[in-house]
Amino acid sequence: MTVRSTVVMAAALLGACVPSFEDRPWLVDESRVLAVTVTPPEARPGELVTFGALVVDGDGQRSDPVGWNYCTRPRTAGERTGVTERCARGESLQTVSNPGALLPDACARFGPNTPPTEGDAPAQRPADPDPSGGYYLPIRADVGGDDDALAFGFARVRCDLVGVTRAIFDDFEARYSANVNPIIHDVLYDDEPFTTVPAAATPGSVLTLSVALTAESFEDYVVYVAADGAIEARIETLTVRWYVTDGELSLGEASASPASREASQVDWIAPDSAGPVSGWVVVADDRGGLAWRDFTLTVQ
Amino acid sequence: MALLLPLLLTLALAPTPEPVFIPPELTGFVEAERPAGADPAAAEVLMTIQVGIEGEVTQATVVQSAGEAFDTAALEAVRAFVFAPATEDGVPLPVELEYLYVFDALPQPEPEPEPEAFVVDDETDVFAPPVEVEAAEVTLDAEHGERMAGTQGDAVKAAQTLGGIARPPVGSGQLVVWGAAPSDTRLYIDWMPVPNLFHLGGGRSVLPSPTVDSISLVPAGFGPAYGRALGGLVRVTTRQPRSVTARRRLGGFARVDPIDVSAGTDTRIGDRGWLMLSLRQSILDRTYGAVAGPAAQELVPVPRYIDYQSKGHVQLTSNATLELVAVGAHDELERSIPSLTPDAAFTETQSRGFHRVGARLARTRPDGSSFSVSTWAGLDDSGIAQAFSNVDATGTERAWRGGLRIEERRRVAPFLLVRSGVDLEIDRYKSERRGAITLPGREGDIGVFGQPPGDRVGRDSWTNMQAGVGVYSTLRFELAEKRWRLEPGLRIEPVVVAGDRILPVRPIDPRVGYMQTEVAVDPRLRVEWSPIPAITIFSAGGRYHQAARPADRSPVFGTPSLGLARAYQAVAGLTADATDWLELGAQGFFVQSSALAARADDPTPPVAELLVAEGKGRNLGGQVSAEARPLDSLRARVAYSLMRAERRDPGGDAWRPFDFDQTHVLQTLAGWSHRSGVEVGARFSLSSGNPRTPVVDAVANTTTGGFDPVFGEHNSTRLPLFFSLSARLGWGRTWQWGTLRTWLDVQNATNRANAQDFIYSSDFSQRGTVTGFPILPLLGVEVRL
Repeated sequence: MTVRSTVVMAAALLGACVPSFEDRPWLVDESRVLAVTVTPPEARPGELVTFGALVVDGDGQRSDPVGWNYCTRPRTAGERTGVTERCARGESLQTVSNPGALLPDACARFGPNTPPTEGDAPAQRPADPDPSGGYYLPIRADVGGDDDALAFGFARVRCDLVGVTRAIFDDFEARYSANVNPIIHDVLYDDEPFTTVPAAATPGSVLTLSVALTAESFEDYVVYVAADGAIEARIETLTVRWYVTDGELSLGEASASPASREASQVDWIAPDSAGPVSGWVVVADDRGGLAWRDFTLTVQ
Repeated sequence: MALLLPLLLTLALAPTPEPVFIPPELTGFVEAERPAGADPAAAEVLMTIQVGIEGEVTQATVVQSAGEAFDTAALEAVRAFVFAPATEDGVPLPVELEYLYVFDALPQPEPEPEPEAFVVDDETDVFAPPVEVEAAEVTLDAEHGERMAGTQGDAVKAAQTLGGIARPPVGSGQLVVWGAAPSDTRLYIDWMPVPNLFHLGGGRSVLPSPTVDSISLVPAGFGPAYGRALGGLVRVTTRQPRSVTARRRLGGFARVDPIDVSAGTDTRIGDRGWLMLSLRQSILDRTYGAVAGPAAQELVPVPRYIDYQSKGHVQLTSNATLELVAVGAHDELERSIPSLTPDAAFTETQSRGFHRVGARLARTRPDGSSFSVSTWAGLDDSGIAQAFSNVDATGTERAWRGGLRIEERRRVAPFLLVRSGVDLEIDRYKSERRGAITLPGREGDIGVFGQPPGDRVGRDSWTNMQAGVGVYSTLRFELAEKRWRLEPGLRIEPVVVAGDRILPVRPIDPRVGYMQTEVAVDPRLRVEWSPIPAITIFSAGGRYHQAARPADRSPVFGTPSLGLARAYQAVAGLTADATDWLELGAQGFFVQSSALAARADDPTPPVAELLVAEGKGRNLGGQVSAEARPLDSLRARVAYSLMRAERRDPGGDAWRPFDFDQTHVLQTLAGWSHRSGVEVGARFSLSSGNPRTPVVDAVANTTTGGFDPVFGEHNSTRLPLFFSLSARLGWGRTWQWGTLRTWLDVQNATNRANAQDFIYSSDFSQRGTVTGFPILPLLGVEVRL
């Protein structure tokens, strides 16, 4: 859920009046990083992963060099954001190559393992998981020194269960499957795939965009619930985000359904000026996996 | 012949005799029947009547009316009159005459004699239990409170207008007293502590105004009889039921406005007992729902609540009373709001309630000494369930609570009054929480309006018990003809905290409980000097302590082993009766607190220590006030406070403004009433905006698809000034049977768009303000018997 929609809801909770902003998060008119991908999206500490960044601007996709860093300091208890203040300011960073290995102590620093202590210091509190039971290593992507194109992604760290019985541990290991990035089968406009039929529109006309995902993208996984001492089975939910360099979108974000494409549909209204319009769709699962595809619309 | 001629001449020369007229004489008077329902005053009907030769009334006509009813009755009676006819020289004559019929005034009923409150012996003096007034205490009587503009007829809500109370966050009903956190101020209904004085949403207090006698605020420096609070005391005293039934055995009230409907009765039981019962239920979901469409009902959360009050008073003897009180409230609030995306709808359900029963036995003596025993028991319940996109949060808390206070005041010498007592309280809490570890939010959290709570989640259920036995004593020295009052005191309170788990639950770990004991030694001092009767200079202060909230003792979300937080308070000031209608006041205060529970600064704190008792606070300020009552029908009050409340967080050296700090708070009120029953009032409020932490930058978070804010210096900016003008127009009249009152209360009469918070665009490049409620008129009606 975007911050804006959350804000609108929260304001409405108080019966208060909320100002309206010129807020079009789906419009790409300056340098931005739309996605930071990690392949594989889930790995054990010390394992190699490959980073990717979708860098775009109003003219389309860019191929600028990207500098990669790990954020080494975890969040404090009161920090609600995924990105810590220090990391956002360029502090507590560790440069990593691409491909690069996850931090060897990632499970102690960001996961369920007890952080190391010295001497007689009391045992430290391990990190808390997200609702999918996952732990994440923050990654900072600096695009060619362009401050506007700074972005953060997260690599899911595969850590062993801690503080469980042997039976639970074995059961979890047998049933758990590491996350993989979603697979986009096709991006469509008015039910026609972009890959086979070029998209053309007249000024002001409406095209319906949607995305087709493979069935495997909706992965089954298990979560250990410490309070119950039990393992729960779940199915991933996917979020579809749309971006364009011109025109208007009815929604910037939609959901995806394994049964049909309709849930991911958004309407794009062509601008008045003729010319090519670049677009991207980013699909995210709820365990940190990302995939993206670009497409081009032509206004004639 | 000679004799006849003079006789004839005499007869011929004698004057002719006048005829002899005798007027008619009323011989048969008929009483007219007084018209039913007519004015009880005397009435006169002037008529002309014609009396015939038989003495009957042949015609009657009204010449001067006393009203149709009286005229008809008089005519009917007069037409039945019987006269002895008028005669002239013995011959009956018909005559016309004027007749005035007078209806005498009805006798006024004798007033009922005041019933004797008791008949025990020849002693007829009743000694009321002494009311202890704290040094900086301000008291507001309910009758004036409910007639203040902007309170919608809610007397307890008027407490928010008292000097030094910061404007509460919209929809919260919290009281921030002299820079203290809302949870640091202890709330009482009579002698029973309660968790809240306002219903969810903050629009109404938990007590209907007809059940309230007074509200008192002690912002700081209270004596050793009270503890367990770092801030102040707010005490709401319920009305004695006997006052309404002085004339009759049964009384009551009924009140209605668009928010709720309430009713109550007062009954005299025997010669010594009185009982008050009342009940109130919200109707806003029906009234608002009737005018607002479904979409508006979804967007504006409408609380539903019910509250009840009962109070029994028994005059056991001339100097002993027994009070029995039962109060309670229950709230529910649901909001279900569709989102811009189908999978991100937000839902929230809140429920909250408390129930109290208590008894108080008090006995007084002619010399001012007294002995009292008060006890109470209760149940507190709260629950919340929230769903934010992919993060849920639920929490429940149930508490069984009880207390006992035994206190004696004894005058041991003409200049010395000793007050001693024991104040026991035991609370047992059972709590559960699941969801984001950043919820519920705490003072000092940095965030923006509407920000999701974060994706780190936990789950826990825990039980703990807190018990404190406060033993206190005060020596009140009254010197120099009571112009000096010196009151040192001491409160010693061992506090025992026990819980079922000191560490988070893991299947491989045994469940380990804990128990810890701390002894708080709190000296207090109060000094007062009245150089002249109209002026009192006072100072009070001491050491105070408060146990951590049970919600903070979760081994997953908090720290079970949190110790007592402490504070030193000092307040000094003066009150002066400048004239017999003008009262002035001025006071300054300083509060320094330590060992406050705050979030650990370390990203990897020790296990079960997510909170640390390392927060510090300091509040410094002053307040001036004036209250004028030049006429019984005219009163005005102004209070201005200038203060600075700061906190220092764990791991930091710098002080930053407290989240509820409001540097300037100005409240002015005025009210005027006319003998016709019309009342007019206005209230003007001006206060500084609350501090906020600015967003100085934003970074893209590609996992969420949005931006994460980068914050500037903590609480380094403020919301704009808050300004509000409220107006009230009321009318009331009292008859023999009771009183009828109606009022129109307009909150924010100027429709000012006051900023409640900052709000940002999705990329934090633009900032606006969320504004609060617009103009809010409310019409209410009340009948009291």
